[in-house]
Order: sequence, then C-alpha cells, then structure tokens
Amino acid sequence: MDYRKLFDCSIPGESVSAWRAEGKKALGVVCCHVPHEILHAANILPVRLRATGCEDYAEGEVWMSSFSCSFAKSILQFFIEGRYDLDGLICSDGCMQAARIYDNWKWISEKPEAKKQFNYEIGVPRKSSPTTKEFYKEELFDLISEMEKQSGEKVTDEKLIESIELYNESRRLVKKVLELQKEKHPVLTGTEALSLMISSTNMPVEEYIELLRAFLADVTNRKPITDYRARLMLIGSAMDDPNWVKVIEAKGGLFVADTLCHGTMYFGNEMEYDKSDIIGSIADYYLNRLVCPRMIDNRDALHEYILNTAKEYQVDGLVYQKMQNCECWGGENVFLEGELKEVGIPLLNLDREQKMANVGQLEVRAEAFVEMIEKEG
Amino acid sequence: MAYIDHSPKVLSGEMSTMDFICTTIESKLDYALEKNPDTRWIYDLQVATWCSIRDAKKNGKKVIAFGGPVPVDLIYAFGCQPYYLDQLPLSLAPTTAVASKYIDLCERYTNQSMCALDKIELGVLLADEYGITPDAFVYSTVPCDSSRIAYPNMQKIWNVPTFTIDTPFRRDERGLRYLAKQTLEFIEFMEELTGTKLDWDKFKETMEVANKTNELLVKCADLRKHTPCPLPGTLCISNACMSGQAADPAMVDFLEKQLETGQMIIDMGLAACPNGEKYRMMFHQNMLWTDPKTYGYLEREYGAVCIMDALGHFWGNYYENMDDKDDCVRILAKKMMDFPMIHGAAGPVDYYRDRIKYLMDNFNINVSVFFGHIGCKHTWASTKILSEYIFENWGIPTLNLDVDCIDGRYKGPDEIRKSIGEYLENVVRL
Repeated sequence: MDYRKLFDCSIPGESVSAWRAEGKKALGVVCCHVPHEILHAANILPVRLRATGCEDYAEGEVWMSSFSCSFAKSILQFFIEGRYDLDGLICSDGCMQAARIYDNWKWISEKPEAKKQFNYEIGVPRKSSPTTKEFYKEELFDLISEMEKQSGEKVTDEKLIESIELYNESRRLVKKVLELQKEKHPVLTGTEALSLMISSTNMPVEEYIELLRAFLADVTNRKPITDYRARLMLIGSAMDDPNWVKVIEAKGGLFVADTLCHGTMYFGNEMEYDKSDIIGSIADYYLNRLVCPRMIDNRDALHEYILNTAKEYQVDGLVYQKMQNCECWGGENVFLEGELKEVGIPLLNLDREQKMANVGQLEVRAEAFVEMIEKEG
Repeated sequence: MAYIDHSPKVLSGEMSTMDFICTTIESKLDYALEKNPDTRWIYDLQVATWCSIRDAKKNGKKVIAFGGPVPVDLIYAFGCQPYYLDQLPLSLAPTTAVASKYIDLCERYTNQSMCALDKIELGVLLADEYGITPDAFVYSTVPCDSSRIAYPNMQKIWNVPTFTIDTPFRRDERGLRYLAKQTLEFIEFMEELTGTKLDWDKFKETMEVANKTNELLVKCADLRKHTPCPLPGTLCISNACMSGQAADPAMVDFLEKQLETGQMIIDMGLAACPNGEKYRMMFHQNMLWTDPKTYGYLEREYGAVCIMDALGHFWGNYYENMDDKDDCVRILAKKMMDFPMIHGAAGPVDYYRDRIKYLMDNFNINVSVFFGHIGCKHTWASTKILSEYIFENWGIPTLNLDVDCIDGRYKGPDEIRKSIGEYLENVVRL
C-alpha cells in the first residue's frame, strides 16, 4: 500500500473532500479538547484545523489585530478565503485566541451575504477535579446532541466504544512509529515524523490506521539516518509546518521527540474507558491528557514528561519555539530552564510567527546551536 | 509635608513594593491634607486598603492573595485580609522606572507579549520584593491566558496553600451552578486554612457591606448618565477595580463621597469638562494607569470625557435572602461572573456586545474608543466585531488605539493624547 499520503500536509486533504462528496459532514475542530471520538461516533469527520503554509494572514489580522497569535489569525484567514472544505466549525476555549477564531468566524459567517454554516463552541475546564469533570461531561452531552442533529445518527455507547477503540489503535500505531526515533540511526527525520502526525487531520481515522500499518510494514526498507550532528527535541506553541522543522534539520539537527499539540501530544496515551460511564471516561481522558500549559494544574507533570522524554530519546538539546502572542507557552522558562540545566540539556529559545519569516535568522541560530551541542564521534 | 519619591530605594532593592506603595500614598495623603483637604477621600481609601494589607499579620489577620474572580466577600467573612494582586501593577504603573524593573525581570523568563500586569505580579515575586508573603493564594483560570501562566508559577514560588477556581466560558445557569459548587469548595478550603467554621453572622455583616458598596457603585455609574457628566474619567478606572474589594468597609466612605461630589457638581450646574462637554466617550477598555492625567487633559482641552467603559462597568449583585445559604452562594458565583474583565472579555464575544449595547443605549455616547491594552490580546481579537457592531447599530466609528496600560515605555502620554485629540477633531462628526 502506498503510504506517501502520510507525508502530505496540504489543505484541504483529498480524503476530506472525498468524505464530503459522499454526503457526509466534516467539521473543523480548533484545538485539542473537542473529543474526536464523539464526532466519529456520529459519523462526522473531525478535521483538526491548521493553517500549514499560510504566508499571508492580512485579513485574519484585520479581524484579530496584530496583537493576536498568528496561528489563530491564519486559521481565520483560511476560513475567510474558503480554503477549508468543511460543513462548519467546533471550537473549544483551548486558549483565548482559539476561542476568538470561533467568535470572529461566527460573526463573519452569520452576515446576511454569507453562506450559512454550523458553528459551535464547547467549554473545557482548565483544571481537573471531580467538579470540573462533571461540568465538562455536561458540555460533552450537549455536543453529542448537536452532532446527532447534524448527522441524523444516534450516538450510542456501543458506537462510542467502537470509536474509542479506533482512535486508540491510531494512538498505538503512532507510538510505534515514535519508538523508532529512539534508535541511534532513526529512519524518519523530525520533518517526516511531524508530517506523518499532522496528516492524521487530513483523513478518516480508519484510513490513517491503514496507512500507518503500511508504513510500519515497510520500515525495514527505509534508510537509517546517519549524518546528523545532534539529536533534538521540539517543544512549544502550535506547530503545524514541517518546513520550519526542516530549516533546523538542514543545519544538522535531527528532531527525535516533541511535545507538540500537532505532534506527539495530540495522540497521547490510549484512552481507558469504563463501559458504565463512557462520557465520564472521555472527559477524564481529555482533562488529564498532557497537551499544553493551558491547564493550570499540569505544569509539573508536563515538565516531568519533557525531561523524561528528553532522556529516553537521548536528546542533545531542546528547542523551545514560542509563537508571538502565544501566552500559553510563554511562561515555561520560569522553571523549565533551570530544570533542564540541572540535567545538562541545553536549550534554544526561538520566537516565531506562523508564516516562515526570518528563515535566515533561524538558520544562523540553528547552526550555532547544533555546533554548540554536537558530540564528537 | 513634601511628597518624597522613594523609587530609588525600590530600584536598588532596599525597599519592598509594599513599603514603597504604602509610603507613597501616605505621603500623598499628607500632601493633600496640607494643600487641598477636600480631596482626602481619594487618598483615604488607598491608604486604608494598602496599609490594611501591610499591617494584616500584625493585626492577627491572614493575608489571602488573589487573582481574577474569586469569592472575595468570603475572605472578609473569615476575618482575613484579601490582597487583590492587580492592585500592585496598577499602583506601580505611574512610576515607569519601578514598573520597568519588574517587567524586565519577568521578561527574562516569559514572553514579551505577556500582559504587563502579570509581568509585574510575577516579576516582583521573582525579585522577592513583595514585602509580604500571603498565607494563602486563590486564583481563577481567567481573566486571560497571561494570568493563567503567571499564577501557577507564582503558586509554585510562594508555595502556600492555594485554591483555584475554574471560570467557565458560559454565563448561564450551568456556569452559575459550576461556580457555586466551587464556591462551596472554597468555603471548605477557608475553614481548613483558618481552623474555623464560617460564622454566618459575620458573613451577614460582610454581605451588608458588599450590598452597600454594590449599590453605591451602581449609583456612581448611573450618575455618569447625566449630560453633562459630572464625574471625571479617572474615577472610571478607579471604580473598575473596586468590585474586587466590595466588602471592604473603607469603600463605603469613598463611594459615598464620590456620589455626593457628583451630585453636588450636577446641582451646581458644573461638569467634569471645565470648558463644556462636547464628546461623551465610551471606552471598550479603559486602563491608562500609566497616566491618569490624560483623562483630565482630554476633559480640559477637548471637552471629551470618558463616560463609561465596557470592561470596568459593573452590574450590582445583591444578597437578598441572607439566611439562605444556597442563594448567597449563587450570588457569590454571580459576582464572579460579573467581575470586570470577566463579564465582557473572558467568554464569547456576545457578552461583550451585550455590555456595549447597554452602555450605548443608556449613557448618551457619541464617541467610541477601543483604548486597548496590548497585553489584552483576546479583547484585541474582538475589536473588529465590536466596532462593526457599534457602527451598524449606532452609526459611530471606533478609534482603535493601542496602549500598554502598565508599561509607560510603550507609548508616552503626548502621543496618546494627540491620537485621541486628532481623532476627535478630524473624524468625529457630532
């Protein structure tokens, strides 16, 4: 089976268009806290939104100002341009910029001259406790009702379990792929690994699973990478552009691990579920899954995860990229910098925008960092 | 007694921010008493607020630092002293050098784009110059992404008992129930912290004070509906922070005096604008703490007064059935939802629009200004919706003007005044 589609990050993906051509609905999802399993159980395709390759978000900026995160502005830009092939939008208040994508698109798409589409927002608590879980469950029950209305299909526990099992399978397979990065000579560049994870947003989970299986079956035929100078790990803001990673890898770095919300963290661990409380299980999973510092009570766990992963994947240095105006990822260095120093892992801090600006500057800094951390022999 | 500038001592680290603020306002009060005793009510409240925090431990009270919407009335009811952390950057902002010290320190670790209020709150802690360590820390998951990054870091540095409240995006019955449940959990937290059960009679006293200050805040806001507006724009920015301390008895005197002064000005046929009122401005945001004198300048030079702002505007929430615990807890929850910066900015933009509609419909506004703090990115991300909404419904264009309300280095007062002045003279058509 040809698995090259795993490395295709174009928007919209052909599978999304094909899905809609069958008369089924595809909804754009902003951020990581709208459970895909629920949409899937309603026979709706969840399309995690990104704006890969957006080089001009002028119109998005008109709506969201220059003081907003350019990832959010770029998604709005793509909506305005009609770039996504979707039936609507579901947003969570992942961060406040994400929530404003919803507000602005709702306002624009509800203008009399606009084509009507479905817009919906769910609230996701920013801490995990029995009280917050109950609130989130109520939000999820509402979401189920809305999805049933959208698709005309009943979401049953059986269907939810089936969806959870499928998504768990994709999580298991991605984990297997990521395990390969632990090798001294991995068979995937960081650019390819990120593309492989991002491409999941382009297709139904069933297709993704098949492609992952085909890829894993072919792994032994791939050529190990031996010419890198330093093993790197990538953390920080929403990163949906493998080309940015490629710039650093072109200077001799090799990304072997990440904590990106479009990467490893998006998949996370498998979801455990209690058959007597499926929605409670989904709520537990999404409230406790480590994704980003939007939650107020996950900071220590997130840092521990970063440190453990860095050790496990034997990284020589960590690249912490922060999107301008992304506050969620803006404050980790208060403690993380010291924690990394303690275990002897060098850190490179980089600010960036969604568009590929300052590539020359990025190259210079990447080269200097790689040179600083590369080990002889 | 001359005003003494203590900022060099803070800059050198000899003096804590607490001592700096207390000495500065005590010195300002002394100066006012000597030069213009009629204005003492403005300083009395600041002295009372800050000195009660400084002296709390001496007076046997626990200090509870808090950020964002939390059930502050309960902190008073437990006999503790709240320390509203936003008061710190607001009080330091007019002294640019001092504010810059902590902003710069914070930026060594955080984004430059982080809200400067949070940069100062975290920066002062990184410098260990609060001058007081709270006995507990209570914070909410909003008002914004910046605070949600600063506060967990502060929690870890302070390492004191901490309670957190998750503020929902929705302002409906479900959101209310959610906050009410967390309020009950907060009562348990406070009982454990203080080792005492909530004394309902004491809470009733607190509720009475809170009801009184709420009523006064609403009356002061309503006074501004009068044309010409009797009260200056600067009082909007001071009143905006007060709902966070609404159960403080010192506020009653301040607000009564404010109301009395406003009524007196109306009775005398005077107004905030000494040369006649021409422009009645609504600010979507309103936080020029770096230079409150700008308000007086606009009133004097252009006849332009900030009538009301959409973030600081306040609905009164009153305890009615003080023996009904469930009802009181719901009011506490409602107050958190209606907290400035929360009611309009921290949820879907529909709530912000509703607030603006009320202000536009009731305050006889003829100028709309988004006087926006650059750190408040999620409100900036709603500017076009809001300006279109205002234009479509009231035919008024909106000036979007970026300022840093805490870091005076971003834009000086002359530029700000000129931007507004030119807009009033060249764009606004009355």
